[in-house]
Amino acid sequence: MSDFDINQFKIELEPFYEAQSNEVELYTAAYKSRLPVMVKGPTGCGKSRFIEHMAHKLDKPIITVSCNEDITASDLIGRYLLDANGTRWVDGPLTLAARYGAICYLDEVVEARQDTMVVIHSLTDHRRELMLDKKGELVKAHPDFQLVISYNPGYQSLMKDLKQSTKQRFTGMDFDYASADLEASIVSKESEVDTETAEKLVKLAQATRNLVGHGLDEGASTRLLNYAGILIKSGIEAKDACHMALVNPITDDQEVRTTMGGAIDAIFG
Amino acid sequence: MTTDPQDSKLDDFYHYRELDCAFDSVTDVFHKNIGQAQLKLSESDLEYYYKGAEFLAKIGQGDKLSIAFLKVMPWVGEFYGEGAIEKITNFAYQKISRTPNKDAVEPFIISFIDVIEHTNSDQLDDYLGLIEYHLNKTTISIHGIHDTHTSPSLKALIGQVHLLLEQLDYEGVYEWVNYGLRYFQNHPERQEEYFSLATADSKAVFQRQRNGMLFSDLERPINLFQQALWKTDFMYAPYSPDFEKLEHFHPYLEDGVIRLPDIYTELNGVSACRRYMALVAHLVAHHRFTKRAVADNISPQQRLLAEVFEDARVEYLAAQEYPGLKKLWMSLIPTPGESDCDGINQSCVRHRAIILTRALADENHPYKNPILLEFVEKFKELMLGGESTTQDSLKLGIAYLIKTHQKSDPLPDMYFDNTEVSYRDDNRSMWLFIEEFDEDDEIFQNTNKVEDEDEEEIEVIPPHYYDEWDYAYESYKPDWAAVYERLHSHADASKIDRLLDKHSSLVKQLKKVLDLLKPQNKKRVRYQEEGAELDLDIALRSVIDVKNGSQPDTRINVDFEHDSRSVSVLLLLDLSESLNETVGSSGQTILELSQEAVSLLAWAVEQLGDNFAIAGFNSDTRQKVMYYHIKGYGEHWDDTVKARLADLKAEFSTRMGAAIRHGAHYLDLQQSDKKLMLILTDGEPADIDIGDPKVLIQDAHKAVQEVQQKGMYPYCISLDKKADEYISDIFGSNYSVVDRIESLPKELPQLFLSLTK
Repeated sequence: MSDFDINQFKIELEPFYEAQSNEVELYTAAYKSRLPVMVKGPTGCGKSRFIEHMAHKLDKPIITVSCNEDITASDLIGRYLLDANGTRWVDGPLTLAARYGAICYLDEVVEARQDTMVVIHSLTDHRRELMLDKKGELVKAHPDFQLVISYNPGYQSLMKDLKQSTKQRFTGMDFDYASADLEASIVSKESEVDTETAEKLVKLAQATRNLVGHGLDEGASTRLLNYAGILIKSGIEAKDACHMALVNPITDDQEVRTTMGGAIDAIFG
Repeated sequence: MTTDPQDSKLDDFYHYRELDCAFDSVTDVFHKNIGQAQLKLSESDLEYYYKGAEFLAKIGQGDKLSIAFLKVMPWVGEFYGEGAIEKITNFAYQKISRTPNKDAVEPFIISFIDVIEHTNSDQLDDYLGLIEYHLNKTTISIHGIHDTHTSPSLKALIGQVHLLLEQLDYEGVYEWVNYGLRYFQNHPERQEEYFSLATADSKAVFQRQRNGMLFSDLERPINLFQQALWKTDFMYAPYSPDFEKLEHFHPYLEDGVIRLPDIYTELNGVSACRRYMALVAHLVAHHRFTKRAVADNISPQQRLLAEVFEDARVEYLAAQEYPGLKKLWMSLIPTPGESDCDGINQSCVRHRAIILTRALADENHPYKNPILLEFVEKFKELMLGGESTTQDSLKLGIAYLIKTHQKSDPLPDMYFDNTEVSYRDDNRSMWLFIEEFDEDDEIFQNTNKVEDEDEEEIEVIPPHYYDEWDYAYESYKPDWAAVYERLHSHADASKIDRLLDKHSSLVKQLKKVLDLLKPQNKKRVRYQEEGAELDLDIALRSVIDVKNGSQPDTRINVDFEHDSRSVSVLLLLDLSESLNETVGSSGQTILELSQEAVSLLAWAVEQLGDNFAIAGFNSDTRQKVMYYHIKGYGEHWDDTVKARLADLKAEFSTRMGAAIRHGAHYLDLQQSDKKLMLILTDGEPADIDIGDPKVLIQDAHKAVQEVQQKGMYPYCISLDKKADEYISDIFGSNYSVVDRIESLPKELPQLFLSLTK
């Protein structure tokens, strides 16, 4: 148990993040009191990147779990496994974070089943403890432990939403796509493409976001813009890069693709 | 003395042979036109000019043929060249006049005025061939009686030939002609209507032959384009060439509606889709940047030049945001030669406007005129300055006109070649007329139309036209069947309640089935104590728990369940005359039994909560297919609907294909995973205007295929004992035959439930 090194979860290289407003201060304050945080926003706008950035800044290890509907409580807290000598308990990511004092980041948490979510309740209130039933151990959270969850409120069906009893254990931070100038500078820094091209890419993303509800579920994310920028930087023709990174992934509707083709021509000339 | 032939011609000008003709009216016209004829025609052609005119006056058709001939032939002869006049004269006599189509000769000759506008100088034979082809096919001889009838439609065809040649290539014209010949050879009246382009289907076939892409096929991407780039949502009103007369329309934006051409071909390598995008982009640019200027004291030519600058200004501003637009627009602006217009016999204002347009848009333009270059510079300075307005364009336009003024500017004959930019609008958004001008004819016409339509709507909604499949020719007859929709009339709803009471035990049975009914999507449900399969991973964990000494979790199975029920259904009822027959011992008609069955089904579906609509149909020839709404998707199974169902009437025939297509139109709009179309009928598709029984059966089959391709499931419930003879031809294996019609009320709901499990 003691040869476990939590520091393998520390982030070595600073993840690039450009602040949109005062989110850094807000998160720092929340972490200071170890308040649980919920980050909300559309896909690819920087939520996960922000948390990683903050973890690095605060010099804390961070354990990320990507949630899906098959996740059970034992996936999070741990289970017994078979080995040569019989059985052996292995901690899950949540238990590791609580035990050794890391930030536990549950990404797309709404996908998980409801009965899985309740295991986090005891960690998010004043108790800050986790009961390992099968093992018979009560883990008291390390003083550095913090729980962060994320979700995308955009395409949730009515059935899949967090229960109020879960929601009200967290403080919330809203994220959205950056303003045009800021987003261009982010794309430019991430993909190393020149500012003028970055601005054009952002304009194209803007056009896709105008189509939300008219034929697209979601517009192009900042992440996709970075992909496009990377392709352009490596020598691909701008229009081809746009089709590959910004049009093909987000829609199969031929008519929407025709529109996007027209928009790409209008922007890139 | 020169021997220049031109000189000797001028000598002859005052010396010409007189026409040998008895009609004074003819010689009058001859004197007026001989000058042109001498200038334009070669010597041998001039001989035929005389011969033709003289001949046509002597064949017993009075003077009108010669008069037409004399007026038209100088231009026609010049256009088509040597020998054309002889050919045409012979054709007119041999092919037309000697048949019973004498009346067509005069329009035939006159038609050449338009024909030379729309054909090449080597296409005379093609045109004559077309006329001859049509004439032969429609001038019917009846064997044995030695009687030949006039072609019912030759004159109509000749009357439309200008439109046909302008819009279609020869292949397209032949296709259109052949279609008319195929279906209307034996119907003189219909034939004439078709060839006059007076009927919906003749216009539809015409549309099909046009080259290019229809706007309606591109409407959605174009609409998304304006939404994506500018978040605007202007609507569209496409215009066709007016079938009465041709008008040169420019697109325009008014009251939130964009008027644009209904079809575009490729131009300068730019696709139809991109051309529409250019058009919309230009209109949006005006919408954003143009402010009206008072036009009352400004002449049309001043307006023209002001518009040139304003068009360039708004395009410049739009391209600052979307630079690719500049390239797109430039590819659609012509580059005429700087000295194309001589400014002697024609006014060159339009020509000057177009070369200025090109120069303002294209840095690499070829023009050298110093004033032009000066004003291009002024424009650049204006735009670089940042703050520009419509007034600036107005000032520049007026100044330019003054500086470049030529004596020929006021001439009525305007040089028009290559001076139009196809995607640009008529700039009505730029001008404000304080005094009332009749510039706004468009708007007045529209309000009149609206009043008329309001009156009409009380009577009947215009029909939807649907194509019908012709199995013999393996193609569609476009816009063939007219479907009229109506809300069904209603009677007393309690009649239906009584029917339901009658079947109360059946109702109880159905309820049980409904409760057990499983909805659509399969979903894996894990951690079940009992289930379809063992979940190995979970089972292992339980084993580990046992080894550990703790309580194993017994929920180690996986089961499947149906998640949600997402079904939309249309029940289509055949309401043809044959349903009035009585059946069995009870003396009920098939119609009454159908009412019972449908009531039960509707009640059952209401319990399930499915999206459900009921409609009835019958037909009285293809011109009148009736589609009755009984229950809409949004309505509940309530007294209003029951009342309509209670009043069902059966009459006329069963044109099933059109009804299926119309029903599919609405079913397609429903949002659900499974879409079912149930067709309840008592016999095969038939109608009184069709002789061959296979036609409507094959058309219904085609309609079924179309519907399947759209992701819907058609299913037939037939009450005809002899259904097996034809029903699988239409529905494949998707049908049931109800043997005992009296058991229909019991069988229909159960069938439905089994189909939607």
